[in-house]
Amino acid sequence: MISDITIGQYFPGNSIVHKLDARTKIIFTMFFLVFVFVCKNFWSLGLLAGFAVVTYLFSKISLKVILKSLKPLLPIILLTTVLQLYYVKDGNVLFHKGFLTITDMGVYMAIFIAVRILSLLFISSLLTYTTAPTDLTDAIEKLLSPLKVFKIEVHTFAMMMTIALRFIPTLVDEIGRIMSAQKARGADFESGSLIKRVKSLFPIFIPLFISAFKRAIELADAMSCRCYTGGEGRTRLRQMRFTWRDLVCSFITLLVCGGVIALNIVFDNII
Amino acid sequence: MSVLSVQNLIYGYSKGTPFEKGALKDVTLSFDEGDIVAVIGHTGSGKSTLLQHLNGLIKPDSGDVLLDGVSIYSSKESLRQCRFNVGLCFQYPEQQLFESTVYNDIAFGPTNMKLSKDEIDKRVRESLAFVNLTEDYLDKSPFDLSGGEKRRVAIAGVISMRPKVLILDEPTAGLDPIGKKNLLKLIKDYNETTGSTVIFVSHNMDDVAAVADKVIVMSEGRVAMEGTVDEVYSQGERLSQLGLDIPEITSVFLALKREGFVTGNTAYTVEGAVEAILKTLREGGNAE
Repeated sequence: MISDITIGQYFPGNSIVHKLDARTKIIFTMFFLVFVFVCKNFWSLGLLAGFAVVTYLFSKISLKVILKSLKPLLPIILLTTVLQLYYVKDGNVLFHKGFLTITDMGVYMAIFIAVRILSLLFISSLLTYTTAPTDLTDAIEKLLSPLKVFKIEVHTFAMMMTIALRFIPTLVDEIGRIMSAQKARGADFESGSLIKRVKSLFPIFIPLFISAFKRAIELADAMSCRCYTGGEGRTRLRQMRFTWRDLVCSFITLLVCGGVIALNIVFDNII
Repeated sequence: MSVLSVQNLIYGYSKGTPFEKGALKDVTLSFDEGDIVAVIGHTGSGKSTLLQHLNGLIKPDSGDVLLDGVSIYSSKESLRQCRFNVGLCFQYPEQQLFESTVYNDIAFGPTNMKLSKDEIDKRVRESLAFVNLTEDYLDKSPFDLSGGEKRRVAIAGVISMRPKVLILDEPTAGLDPIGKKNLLKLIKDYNETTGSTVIFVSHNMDDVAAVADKVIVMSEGRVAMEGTVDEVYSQGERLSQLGLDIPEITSVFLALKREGFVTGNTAYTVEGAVEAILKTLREGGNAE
């Protein structure tokens, strides 16, 4: 159940998308997220959604993985779509019964919103699917490094994020193990009143916190044994490099963004 | 008589993902009442997965688990009763301690069984005695104890449910030699006093020889060998093919036997070897 959640997971690969510099990917994912909201008609949104799909094809991530990650979010998408159908009263009436009126405008809006949410999900999960967590935090550190001027400890922040990401799967495993152990002693997590259920979480979370603290102390010891003293003067094993791939990717993304603005101007807007 | 048995168990982890690997491929076994059974095998051979099937924590893709001849999946209640009748103690069980006192932690299982207060109290004290801890420990916090004491408290937490079958996953992992020896003795005593079946996983062939009646060797999700300690350990070559070693004392003994220095049954423990050697010497002495 827990292992079904693939959002934020990394799927190692060797595609062009995988090879892009993490900084490029972060910046252009942000561009994309902003431009999804710039789109004002189906033409511009279609261009952007098409771009997302093409990027996906290049990343060689299997369709199964994507569909699986969308599954838990399906209710949210459906709910917003249905609300759009119900609330939009402009345009020609397609169906009318009692308080329920569905217009062609409502249908358009519903589809528009659904495509918008899907595009957002697609492209933001693509970032984590194709970028190793360590590369991601390295890139964030690099991108935020101008903040050092304001005495913000960018390195510490990035290191904390790396460690947090690194330990998510470990803790998920641990929760599974502790749950099994308590179930073996007859613990029941699935039935009873709300208070009873909340209480039933103590046998999981107390051992989990204890082992998390223990792990944190051990990790800190291991790091200081290897002379970790923070970000000052630290160099990297793998240098991030901006290559021709990143240049091409930047060019294409900017072109798509320009296309979105152009299509917004040329065609009638529905928002 | 068979108390617990599994039939044609098949189970695979992470189905439908690139991480899929077969964990159990058609396992059929039966455990007799009052036996001490050791499950051995290489890392990833499916030992732990098998154990978790025995009390219904993992549901098999196909196959069945029978407790006293009844499928544990026949009703919701039978599954719940199975958790109490088949006490499973995980590897490093001390990691599951959570209560404020040792007493409350041991009482967790019996409380879930909805027993009366007196009965719970009786069982807590009884289990504590079983694991050789005095009643002074009852009011202590489990987190203040040493590693070995924590382990024993955790095992007491499983014993307190009075399971018909006690299952321990690598109970001696990470203990010092004395702690190890005490724990093995405890397993043996528990089995003798209560007559319960005990199933345990071990990597240590000497430990197995010291306490087990029967041995099951797992390899790549299947039962590779099954039988009494004698039957299994006499096939040293087969064992080493499966990545396992016979106990050191046994290989020494077999070498001595080959050279004609000792006779008699193969020994798996130091005590057994001493006895056999003394016997051979005595007989030899008589003959002269």
